[in-house]
Amino acid sequence: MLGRLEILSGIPAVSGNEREARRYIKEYAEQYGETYVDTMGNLYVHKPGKGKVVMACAHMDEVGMMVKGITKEGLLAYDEIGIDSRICVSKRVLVGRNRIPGVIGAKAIHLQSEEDLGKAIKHEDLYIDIGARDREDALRYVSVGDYISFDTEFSLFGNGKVKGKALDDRVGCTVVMELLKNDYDCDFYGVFTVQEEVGTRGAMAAAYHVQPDVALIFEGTTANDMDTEDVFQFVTKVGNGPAITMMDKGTIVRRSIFEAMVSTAKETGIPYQIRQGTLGGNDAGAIHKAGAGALAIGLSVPCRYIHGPVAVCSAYDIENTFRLADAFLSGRGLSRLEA
Amino acid sequence: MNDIQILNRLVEASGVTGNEREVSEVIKDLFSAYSPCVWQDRNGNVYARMGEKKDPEVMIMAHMDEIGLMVTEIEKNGLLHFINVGGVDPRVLPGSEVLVLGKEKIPGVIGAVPPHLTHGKRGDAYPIEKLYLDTGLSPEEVKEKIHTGDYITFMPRPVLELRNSYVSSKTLDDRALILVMLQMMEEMKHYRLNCSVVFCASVQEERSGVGAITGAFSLNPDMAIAIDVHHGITPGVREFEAYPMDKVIITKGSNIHEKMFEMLMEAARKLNVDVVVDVAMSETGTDAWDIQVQRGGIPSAIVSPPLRYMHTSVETIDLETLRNCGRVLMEFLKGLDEGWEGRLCLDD
Repeated sequence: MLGRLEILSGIPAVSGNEREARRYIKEYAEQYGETYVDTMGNLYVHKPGKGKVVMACAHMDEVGMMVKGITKEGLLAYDEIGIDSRICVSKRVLVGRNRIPGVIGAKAIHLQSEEDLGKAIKHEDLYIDIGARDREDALRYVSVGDYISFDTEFSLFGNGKVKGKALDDRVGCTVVMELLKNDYDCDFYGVFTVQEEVGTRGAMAAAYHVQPDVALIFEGTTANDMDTEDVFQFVTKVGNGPAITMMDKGTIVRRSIFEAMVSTAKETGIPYQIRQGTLGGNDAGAIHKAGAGALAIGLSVPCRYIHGPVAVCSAYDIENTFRLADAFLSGRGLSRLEA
Repeated sequence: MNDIQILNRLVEASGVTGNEREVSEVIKDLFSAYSPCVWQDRNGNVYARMGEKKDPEVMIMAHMDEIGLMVTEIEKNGLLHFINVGGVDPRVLPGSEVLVLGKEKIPGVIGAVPPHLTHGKRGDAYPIEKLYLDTGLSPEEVKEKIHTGDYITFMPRPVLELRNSYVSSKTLDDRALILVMLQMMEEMKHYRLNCSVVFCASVQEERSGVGAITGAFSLNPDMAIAIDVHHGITPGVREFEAYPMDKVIITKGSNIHEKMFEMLMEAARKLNVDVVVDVAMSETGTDAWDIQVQRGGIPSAIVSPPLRYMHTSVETIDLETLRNCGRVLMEFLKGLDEGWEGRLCLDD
């Protein structure tokens, strides 16, 4: 799975431009089920079967930027989704289909006033520099509307961890891709959604198409486990196992599926944690409201520094997220739910 | 000469102010390809003399040290806190990849608590005390491999080639000018000068200037030119505080010997190289400030390429302009002959 995660992490696929991620996943998934793509770009992998309609879902898109305009000096002004301006400074990016390299620089410290230094630099004061001489030159390489993602090398990190960009939600995609290898006693859909980061938009359409009875949503979620006094919510801890959601901004998880998931973990001895925090949302928010309603639950891999150029998570957590979902779907959890 | 390959060797070596050992070895190696006379003094400065010692002797100095951080505290959970060594703006740190120079080189990520999970406001910059360094290691491993006082640099990566001849990397300040020295050494293979030149890679420019002070004292050259970077134009900078990326910058002001200034301008004119004058009434923030008052006074000047985003991991420079800096310096050196003292005389 880490090999696939490495490739997925490196693919630039910002909300609204998921093509490359979709292509990679589709090529892999074709051997496991019928694949199709809807008009929003969601990718479905269907493994027909009897029984409950089950959806295992992860989103393909990552936070990123788009070229909004080009200044006369040839610098790129950008629009962004989900990125705090404070982590943008002094980073490398890739622009457009041709992956033109660029940097987001900041006014040198020598040129700042005392007052400036205490304030975060805002997006409107940041630009992407591709080394163009002027606007006309820049237009030879990039266009207004080009998508921009961070340029980060994926690698193993520290003790049993990995670091890379877009772990939210390529870790989820990796887990669902692994689940596709197995056969479960249900009508199974592996769904890779688009545009989660702009408001779970792809999931809204996907839920309509699939009309699941049960939905497992795989995410990379905030791990704010760096114990500092200012923190009042740590949400999840890296290394403590897959995080099971009980409630978040979009969903209150139904008791039955929550307990079935926790029991599965306890019985199989797979480490797990409860997602301690109600902030943030994911595709479950859209899916549980679909049609007549679905039993939806989130299973997340805790990641530090999500929505930034480099996130960190535990390789064991990824493995255990897969194992827990696999155990749940292999009858331990599914069969316990009301028909 | 492959500029990119050399730059990579230079920027990927560590050498935070006060601990330049690793990069000084790289520089000694690079200098030795051109000069049989390479040495290092007790402060760490590295020198290379070109040609036999004769008058006038010109010292050309670029600093090899880089800004960085230093570990101040290791928390119970293995996270590290740090301070600045040199002018690192803490606002460039969140989300950055760095390298801790402990018992071994350990990669890390600089994190900060996400804004919606603290009581702070999004508009506030994270002060350096609120940032932390995550190595992903267990607290035991951290305590074994890392200690208070260990240096930290931006993660070394190969130079990023942008459009045109622009490149971006950490530490182009000031290692890009060591590349210029090597380019000049290459030129000198084909040209016999009427002066001797000593190239000096100095230590600790970013803090105390001890490299420049003791280097100028020991060498006692007849003239010195500090080659360091200056600001390239980006939005939000006042006009005349930074310069277009394609211009070679020559400084004028009290720190600069007025005759050397004229000679450098003349050299640029002869070559048809686009030059811009940077005005500095007093302190220039370079080694030249320290050199000028050594040994009773050493005529000094400064030549700079423009550089965007100084003191970040994405410093950006135009390799063409860089090369022009070297060309202007070569032309200046070629113009030195027996009449040099007269030309420099201020009693006119």
